[in-house]
Amino acid sequence: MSRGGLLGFVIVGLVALSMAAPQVAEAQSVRITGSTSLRYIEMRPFVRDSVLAEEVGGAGLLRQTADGHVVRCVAAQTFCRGTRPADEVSTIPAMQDLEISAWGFGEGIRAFAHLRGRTAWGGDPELWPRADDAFDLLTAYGEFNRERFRVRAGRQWVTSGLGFYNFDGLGLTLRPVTGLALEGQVGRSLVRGLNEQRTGGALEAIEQLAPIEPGLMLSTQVRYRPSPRLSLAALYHRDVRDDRAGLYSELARAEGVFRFGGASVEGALERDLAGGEFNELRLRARTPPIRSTALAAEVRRYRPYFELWTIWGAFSPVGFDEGRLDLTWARARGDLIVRGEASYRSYDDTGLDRGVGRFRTDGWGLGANASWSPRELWRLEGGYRMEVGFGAARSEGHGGVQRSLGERGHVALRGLAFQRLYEFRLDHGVVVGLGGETSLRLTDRVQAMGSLTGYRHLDQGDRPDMDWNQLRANLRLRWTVGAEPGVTREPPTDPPEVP
Amino acid sequence: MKKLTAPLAVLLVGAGALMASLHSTDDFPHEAHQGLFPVCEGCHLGVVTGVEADLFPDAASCTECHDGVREDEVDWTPPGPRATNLRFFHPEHQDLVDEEGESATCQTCHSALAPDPPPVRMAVAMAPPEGCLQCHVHDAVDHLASTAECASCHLTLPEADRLSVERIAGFPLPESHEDPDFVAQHAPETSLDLISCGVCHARNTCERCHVNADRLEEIAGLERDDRVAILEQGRLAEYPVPATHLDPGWDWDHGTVAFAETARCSNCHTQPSCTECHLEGGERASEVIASLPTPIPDGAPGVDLASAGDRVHPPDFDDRHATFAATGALQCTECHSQQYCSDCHAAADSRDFHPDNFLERHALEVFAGSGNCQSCHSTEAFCRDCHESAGVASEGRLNVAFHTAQPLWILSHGQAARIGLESCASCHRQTDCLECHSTFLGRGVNPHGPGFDAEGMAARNRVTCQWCHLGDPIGDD
Repeated sequence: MSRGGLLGFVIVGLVALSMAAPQVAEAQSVRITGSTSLRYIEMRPFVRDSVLAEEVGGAGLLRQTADGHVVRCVAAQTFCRGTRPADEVSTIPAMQDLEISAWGFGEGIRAFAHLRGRTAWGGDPELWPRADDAFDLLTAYGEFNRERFRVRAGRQWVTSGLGFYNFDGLGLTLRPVTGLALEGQVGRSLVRGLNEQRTGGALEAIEQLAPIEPGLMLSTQVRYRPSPRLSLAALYHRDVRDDRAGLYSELARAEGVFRFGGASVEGALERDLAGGEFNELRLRARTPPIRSTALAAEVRRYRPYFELWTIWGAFSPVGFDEGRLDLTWARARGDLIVRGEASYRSYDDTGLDRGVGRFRTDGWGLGANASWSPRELWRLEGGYRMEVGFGAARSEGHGGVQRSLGERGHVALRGLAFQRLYEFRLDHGVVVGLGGETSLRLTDRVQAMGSLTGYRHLDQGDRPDMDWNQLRANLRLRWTVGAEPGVTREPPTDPPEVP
Repeated sequence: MKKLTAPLAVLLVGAGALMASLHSTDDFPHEAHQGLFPVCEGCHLGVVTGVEADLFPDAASCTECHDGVREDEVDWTPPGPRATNLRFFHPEHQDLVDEEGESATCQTCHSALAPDPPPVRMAVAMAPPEGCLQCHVHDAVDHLASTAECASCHLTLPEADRLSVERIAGFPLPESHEDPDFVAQHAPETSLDLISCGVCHARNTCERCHVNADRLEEIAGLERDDRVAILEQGRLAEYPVPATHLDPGWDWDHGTVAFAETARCSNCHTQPSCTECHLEGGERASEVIASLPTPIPDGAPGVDLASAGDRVHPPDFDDRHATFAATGALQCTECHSQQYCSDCHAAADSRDFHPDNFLERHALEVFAGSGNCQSCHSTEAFCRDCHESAGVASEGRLNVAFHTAQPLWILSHGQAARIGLESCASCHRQTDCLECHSTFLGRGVNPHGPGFDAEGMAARNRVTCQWCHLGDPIGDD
């Protein structure tokens, strides 16, 4: 079904349902939440350029032009090629979301839809991804929810230990006994995060080797919580081509948490059944807070996962083993929290690790951050983090002060500085940013949020290949109309009469 | 006299002190009349009979002598009914003394501190507290000790109905009540304890804070008192945070305690305490919540947890909530609606997962591999779309002059690709790679690493093999 067709189906269905049974329509309630967001983005994109080789001094493959740009000069070629920042462009992408929830058709029956419209203005509207995709139906399903089971039919999404996946189909949740949940989903799989079928055009626009068949997805999850101390989950996900000629993905995952006396042990194991590899093995232990201090240690093995419609898996990507320590101290009142973390990882042998010009095969990271509320409504935050790895390194710091306005929202002033990271590029420089943000609850049902940050590129040195002098702004308005389902703190306007 | 209860003795001391403080109202010059009255009972018959009206002689008795002729007139009136909460009754005390085979006269108590023999007859005074202790053995360290059984010597407030509001307000505060943990541990353990509470407190006292006052037998057993109501009026309920609640793990673990000891929670918490966070309320939580009291207008307000949701999870929870959510360890839906999750976890549709300036800083997360970008984003569709707009994505293989850190990048890129293939895929189309790595579109450079399971991959999606290989790739290779 096309997007427009599906939307029409949902709208017509809701209207028909409300009109078909007057007594039902009388009890029906609808709640609509809208979110309008505007961004302002300045950018100086990279553009490819070339200069006559004879105008570039020096020798060798990489040379520098008189104005500092690094170019690649291949012997015997007339031109050296390189990149440089283009003229500044800006865009103002706008998104309008509508979330519609309707209930009152009977106990546990609900319909929900999430629609999104997009457009963009400014000097280069195409700068923002998918700005030309004017309409999306992100979610649209009907739900029947009772104590022991829940059924959903339509476009929906699920998050689990395997991440986020969305689909058009049927979802069933069974809760046979307290602590046990069985879930299953089946339907047409959608491109992760895109809400479009694999052959819907979104992938073809940017990838010549896009899937040629839609996908059919089956996913199951079992969650078991025998006690508040122990919880376990097992997941299986399979996505096959519609013509059954091959798999798009097949994953399984198991994870669990065991808590005792303020301590916890978490573990996860994820296997790419199709690729025959373990994507993740993770074990994390956290001590109980002793004198307000908790220490967490984690060992993790990670290998990236690629769907089988891509050729990336054939390039034998390798994973890494990582150890991580995390120390958190929080004063009992919660007004002061300090965290520090350190990590070290070692990449697997690629089979190409020896010889001249090879990259390091390990990396490490350090970071610390703190949050302090010297007074009830004020909060100061700051942090620093550094990552060093193959091909690049980066450090960044941030700080800010936030003044709470209670339930009305907050205002904040924030600053940050970072050294740029461009993998495998000769580049350096420091970018600083300063800006403010606010979130204001204008009424019980209207909330406005906004931020404005200016970035200044310092110390571009002699390689001005990138320009970070730019301005970014966000403005978002969130509003709600319709009935109150009873999940907020607002007292009902008309409390029921007690006989 | 044999040993009586220690608290009784202790309280008698206090009672004696109280009586002494009231002495000025009965300022009769006994010593000036020492030759006149042969026995105490002549004037204080009520001490023997128990009739309160006969405790003191009436004023007219004085005029028998002080008639202005024989003696000057005097203006003396007997004290009125005594406003006291002392549980002391002369005839009963005398009976106890007699039962013990002991001897006690008026002088035993009322001239107890006088020299022996007394300098003059009728050198009497109010019985001093120390006098009580001459007979009564006591263990408690002081009058207001927490082990004292107050009701041994004191009436409860309803019984002491002559006490004024001011007198009640002036009751001394036992040291035990100043202990920070007192509120958490103040529940009376025995009926004697409860009666002790009733010496100073009425039901109104409890109802100021206890939202479950009507459910507790201990409170229901107390009577309301108008004088206490006046004292409680305008006082705010106090809910000191128990030590257990200050444990950083409390927010996580409180559910177990709440389920096991719901009645205890009901002392301070009403249902809104829970529903501030438990928006949806799962089966287990709903059971607990439903059994908590509901707020009563003008009743105890209960603990205000309006901002509790901001501090429920430990500071490092953002980083590790995934496993807890995925396994149902914390039953997230008891507090959060799915909308709460989708604010962050609706993949590319989410606008709250990353901070506002994440776009400018996201390279760090990708580089460190800590973000698990692929769990929400399609690398091909999401990352590359934006990178192409920004100009950092590739436009083919050989015209790229982006990787300037390595002069011989083309010779060393294989290692970088196998380590950071996610990054590569965020800029490069697959066809970029096939220009060299395809057997029929490119130069046939083998990209497969050690241990590559060609047969396994072909078995799972043979079509993908055919992007590079003509015919049967297994046979070809």
